[in-house]
Amino acid sequence: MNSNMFETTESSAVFQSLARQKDYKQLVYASERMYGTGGFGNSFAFCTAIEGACNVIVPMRAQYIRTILMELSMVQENLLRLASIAETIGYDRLSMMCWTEREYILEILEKLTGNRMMLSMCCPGGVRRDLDMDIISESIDEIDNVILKTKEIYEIFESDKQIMNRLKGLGYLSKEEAEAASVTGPGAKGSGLAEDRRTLGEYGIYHLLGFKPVVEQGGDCYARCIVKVREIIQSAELVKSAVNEMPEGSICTQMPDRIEGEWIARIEQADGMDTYYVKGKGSAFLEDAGIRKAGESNDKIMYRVTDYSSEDEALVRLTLGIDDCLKER
Amino acid sequence: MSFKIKRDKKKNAGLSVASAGIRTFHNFRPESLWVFHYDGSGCDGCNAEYLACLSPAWDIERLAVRNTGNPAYADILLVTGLITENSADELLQIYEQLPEGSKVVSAGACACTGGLFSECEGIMAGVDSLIPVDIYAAGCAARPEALIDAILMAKDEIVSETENREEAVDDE
Repeated sequence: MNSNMFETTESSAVFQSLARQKDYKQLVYASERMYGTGGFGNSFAFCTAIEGACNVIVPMRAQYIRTILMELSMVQENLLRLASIAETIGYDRLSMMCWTEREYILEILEKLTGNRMMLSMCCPGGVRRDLDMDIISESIDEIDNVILKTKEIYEIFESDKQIMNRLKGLGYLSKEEAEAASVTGPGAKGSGLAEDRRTLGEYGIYHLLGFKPVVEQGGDCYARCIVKVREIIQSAELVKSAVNEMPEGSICTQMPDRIEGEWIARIEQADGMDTYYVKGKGSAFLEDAGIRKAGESNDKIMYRVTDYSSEDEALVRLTLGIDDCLKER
Repeated sequence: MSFKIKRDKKKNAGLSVASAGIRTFHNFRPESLWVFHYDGSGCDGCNAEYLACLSPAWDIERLAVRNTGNPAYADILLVTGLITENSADELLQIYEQLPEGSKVVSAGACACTGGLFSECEGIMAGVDSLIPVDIYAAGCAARPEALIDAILMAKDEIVSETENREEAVDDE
């Protein structure tokens, strides 16, 4: 296998040119900067790929820490998307509610890791820093508050007729179409496909937490919004249960200096599936690397909405999680 | 802050209408700064942090700073993200539309130097290779504190320039 399957995407070209200049430990930072708001997920995917290629088993505590940070960053990303959607349909108050809740999550992340967006916590073999259990037990109360507020947001989305009129039927995607175009993320879950990488147990500790994906049957923008709101509550609950079961132990294992072998890692982000491919031939530099970000995997179904107004198109893009970061303007 | 609004009618009486108008405009300019935000390519992180500045948690509008969509009304041009060769023309066009005395703030590692991507193809190494920059805000991604601080520093520069201009008008 080679990385030809990734060459259509532009962020893959950027990542490949970075892989020629930097060794695999420096590339963790590069992978994190492929996508700002979902940065931690990208570094998680890259580290998982490197560990798979080197046959390294990550300590249990590191897996728990990664899962907690991953779910927290998914909460903030989903809230960011909902805020943009609410602003586009003219609901400024709802948008500001989402922004406010997002700040609480970012504050927790800042307390735990020292940074708001680029956490720089993942490293090949584990995590860089242990989590402070006092800070975590303090922030559980804040997470509870975020869940309460998100339930309010859920009520607004469920009861407001104007939101329903605006979003129902917009950007419809049937289950068969979604399956044929291999749509991932809220696009698939909103169309009734229970597709989620977290159920497969390839990474993290989701199989221990009894994870089940959120599924809605509508297939339109409204169903995708509901998926996002429900995923926020689900992710926050996952954080809480992961904190309760956290084991003691080491947080990082020794990694070899040279990489031999290849691996593909797929990780569920808030916008869809993140794919990282790495291949090494006995050196610290990767011979081949390729990525497909969550936002790019759904790009190919945008041809169906060419006759929409620009606002409608923006809504479809936001709900499907298609962004234009790292693209030529 | 050294700035005070001067509402001395006697002082304005001897001046021509035009210079009084200019004086009034420049008096009030630092009291309501309008920011035009341009986000280039890149990871979108700094963009999200600037949007967080507009949210209730940071609320940049309490400092009399407002976001605008038109560069012709902007007192501050805030540039975040990577500037590629394709988006360089866009940025130059925006810069040409800025009114006289506007300040340029480049925020984030990518906008300041090109950051991690500076050795990639088709990337301009920083905004200052294209247009003159007054304030640099560090960080990857630039935190809301850094962004607000940079905007207030640009405000201070505008204030001191306004005071100098007033002295010049008085001398006339």
